[in-house]
Amino acid sequence: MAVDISDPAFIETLKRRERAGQKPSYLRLAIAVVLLIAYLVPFYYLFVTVFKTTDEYLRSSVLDLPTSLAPFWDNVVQAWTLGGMGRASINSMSYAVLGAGLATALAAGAAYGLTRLKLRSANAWFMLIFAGTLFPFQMFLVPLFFGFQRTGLINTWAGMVLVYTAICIPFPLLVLRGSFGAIAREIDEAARIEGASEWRVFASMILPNAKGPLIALFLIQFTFVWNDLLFSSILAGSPEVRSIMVALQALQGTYSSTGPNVVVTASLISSVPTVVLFIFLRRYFMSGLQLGT
Amino acid sequence: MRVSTLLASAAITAAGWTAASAQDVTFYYDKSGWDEGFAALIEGASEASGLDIAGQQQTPTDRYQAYIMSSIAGGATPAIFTWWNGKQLDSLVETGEIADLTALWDEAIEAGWFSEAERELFSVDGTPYAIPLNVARWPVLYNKDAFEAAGIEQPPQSWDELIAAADALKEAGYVPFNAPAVGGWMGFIWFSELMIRTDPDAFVGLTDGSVPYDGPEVQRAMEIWTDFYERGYFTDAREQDETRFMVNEEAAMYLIGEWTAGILANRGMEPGEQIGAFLLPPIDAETENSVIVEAAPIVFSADAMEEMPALMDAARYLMSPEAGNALGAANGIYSGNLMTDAPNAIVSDVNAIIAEDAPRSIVRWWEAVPPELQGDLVSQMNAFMLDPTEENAQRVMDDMQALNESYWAFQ
Amino acid sequence: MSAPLNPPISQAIRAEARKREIAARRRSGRVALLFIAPALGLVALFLLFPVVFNLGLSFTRWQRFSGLDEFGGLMNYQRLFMVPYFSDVVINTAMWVIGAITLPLAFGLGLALLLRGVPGEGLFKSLFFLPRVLAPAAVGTIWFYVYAPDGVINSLAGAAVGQDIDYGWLFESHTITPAIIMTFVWQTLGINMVLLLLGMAAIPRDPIEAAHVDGASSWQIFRHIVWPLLLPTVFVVTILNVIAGFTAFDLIWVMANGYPAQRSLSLAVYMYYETFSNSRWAFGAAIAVMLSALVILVSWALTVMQSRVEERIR
Repeated sequence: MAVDISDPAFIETLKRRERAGQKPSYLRLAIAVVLLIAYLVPFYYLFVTVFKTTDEYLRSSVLDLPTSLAPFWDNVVQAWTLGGMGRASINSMSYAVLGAGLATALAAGAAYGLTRLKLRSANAWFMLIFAGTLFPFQMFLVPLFFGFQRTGLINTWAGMVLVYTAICIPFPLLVLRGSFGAIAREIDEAARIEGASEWRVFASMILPNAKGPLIALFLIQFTFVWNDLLFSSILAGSPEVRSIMVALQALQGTYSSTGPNVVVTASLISSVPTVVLFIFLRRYFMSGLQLGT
Repeated sequence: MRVSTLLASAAITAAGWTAASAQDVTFYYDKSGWDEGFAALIEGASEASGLDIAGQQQTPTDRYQAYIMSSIAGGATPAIFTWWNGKQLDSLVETGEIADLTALWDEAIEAGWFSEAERELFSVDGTPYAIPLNVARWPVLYNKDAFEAAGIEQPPQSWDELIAAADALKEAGYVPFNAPAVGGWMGFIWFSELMIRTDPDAFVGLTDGSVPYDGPEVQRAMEIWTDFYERGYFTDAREQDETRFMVNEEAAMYLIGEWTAGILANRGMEPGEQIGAFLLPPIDAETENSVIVEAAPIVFSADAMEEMPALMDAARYLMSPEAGNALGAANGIYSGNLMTDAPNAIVSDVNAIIAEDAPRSIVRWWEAVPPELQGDLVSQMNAFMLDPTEENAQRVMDDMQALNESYWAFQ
Repeated sequence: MSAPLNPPISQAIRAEARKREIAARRRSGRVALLFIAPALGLVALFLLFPVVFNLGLSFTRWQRFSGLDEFGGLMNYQRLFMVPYFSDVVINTAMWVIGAITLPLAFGLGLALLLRGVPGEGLFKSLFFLPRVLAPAAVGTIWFYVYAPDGVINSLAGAAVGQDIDYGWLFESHTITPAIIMTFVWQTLGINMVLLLLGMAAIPRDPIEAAHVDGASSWQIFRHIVWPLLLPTVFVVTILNVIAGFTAFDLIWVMANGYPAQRSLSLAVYMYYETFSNSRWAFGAAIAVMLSALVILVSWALTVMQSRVEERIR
């Protein structure tokens, strides 16, 4: 179809269309706002509940606004002490920081070996490590429980760090293999000619060039470990090493006198680190999604 | 820089690995909320034996069982741990890993700490393999003020009086019975109570496969249970707070282990003052009077006992009145030792009732039933409580019998 | 290093150079292995070896205290089909997989189309994405009370119809699984939406604008231009959703543990239940093998379909 684009009539229709195209965008905005409000109702529930006492919770409707903000601290204190969340959050923080950190670092090392050095059948090595993610987690539970029990790693802090590190390696490796592969060859060739060791090339040439993906990967794996219930529920049952999610589940699952207000406060507490990271590092989270696909 | 922090953390990891402290003996248990009592028991046992005993709590219960069972399957039986009696103890002893405690029981009975009846609770084929952590009877705890408000002068002595009391309580604005279904196990409480009140022998038959879960005996119990629900005798089974309706005085009675008196005391209901206890009466005069008894054993590894003879001193201490009193003082738990002080008024009330009526002791359903069936069956009972209709009662009975049949066919 | 003085370069020198290059290559390979070793070691020890071990265990008679050293053949594999509530497990698993494939995608796509170009798109995206960073255990805990008899859903519905409702969504056998699936949808539609938006951003504008100029309707544009080009992304999202549906555990365990009876169990949760609540280790291992086979088969089939679609686009 031939159109004379300098024809004023045509430009006029285009402009009209554009304006018409903008108008529905306000309609869409209105729909989006309504949907968002419906979508956020559970958060509304969460925020009114953490400010209620157990008595108030049981007597009023769950949707009522709290009568005062004061009960919040008492709820936090109760969740913290009854659920043992203090200890549990330190545990989970150390599992998540170390597990995700070590995994990203080890995956970076492996990705360097696979992409920047002359390794024969590098692809086969990669497939071997990556094969670890083919299976659903259920496949690992019985052997890990039995193996941990046999070796004494069960209910130990070190055992948890090791298992989380191992689980978190394959995915960053997949991603970093791509990002390291995309870095120009000249960079490390030049450094090697100048006599830099492989370690130096890795640490000061390649790693700084992949800062974005490294941070994104750390965040994704941190969130995974912090949120994990499956592995920690079978491998760390004792109060000393129990994870935050196991503590939360114990608080919710027991037939105790803990009121819904306290349990809901505990789930808020258990969400603080990941939400804070998300708010401040949203850019990396979103770019992490791109890495994943 | 980043790398060196990571290396440092790796070093910390390695240090943590090797820092697993060396204890002589570990005492495993799953009882949460008894920390103080266990601390006292462990301290006393360490002193008595000269061994360095450390406590290790593991929860929840199913994970604890899994831990112990896989330890034994892997040839590493824990030296001391709590377990369950009945069929649970039978299958544990079958492994051949558990120490025979005949000599210790002889001593304890000699000293008047326990009677033959308790010994029986911890024996397999006549040989005692465990010592009591606690013994608990299952009475009905009731709110004294509610009874007064409803004009009930004394706890019901017969089935008719029970129905009359329940109706009077309803009239006075109370729900007669608090009956939660939380924690995944509470479904069996009313099921087994109604069975023993209508036919105690049939109840025992259920647990050894000789009585089916869909036969006339169970039908009868389920009919009463359904009828009680229709009459509005029970609280909403969906409530997550086990004792809420007792504490806020909406419900008047609570059929449960006597240890719950301690929980109610913590929530402001004083045993003896506000709370009393009675045994649910049998349905008619011909039916034998009985009481459900729950007994939590402590067992010892046979190998550990052989390696460390001092462990026997620890066992002796754990059976002693001092240990029983320590647990009673810390957590209000009754050890079953005849020479201990009753930790609260409920325990002494139940002691008096049992001394007077001499009911037949029946092992709690949870322990009496084959462990392989436990979880599957109890969740059916929970399902009934959530939908207490005639049709669902039939479905639950059919499902329970299907599970039961397939289990016994395998044996 | 001394350079050869007399040209031409002799055969020997060339051979020497090649040898040196091979040596360098070997050295580089050895260093590479050093870099790979820690990752490989951990993965082999904690992931690869357990897979093999799990497969072996599934053929033993191990349950409760014993049977680890007894060969049981296919016993555990047959056993699953004899479980009295096997049909419940199959139906629930099917609901989970079908629900996980269709619902987050449908809602995610709807939202993506709605939000594209809307003022404040970034904020909307973040807010819809937010539940995703919460732990399923925390989400399940909150939603447990949302669905409670005196919870949010009943309060809102009650206000709408003007009477009290105290329906126990998680206590009725026919609403428990759909209710938990809706929670799952609530948590995952955001990531579906974001991924689809990324896919849409990659679609070239020209054909769409040309179609616009030609007077094509929005639906026609979507149906004939956007959707085919978006299909690869849809497949990626679907693969992620299928795996999530098959293996969903935390939400079910937290929201439905034991209610009502086993009528809420999916295969993944049933595996955990048999293993860690009933101590039927070998049986649990066998269920895990079957679950893995299903997941791998389905995601492989989807991957093949995806690559076909991508080829067609090219």
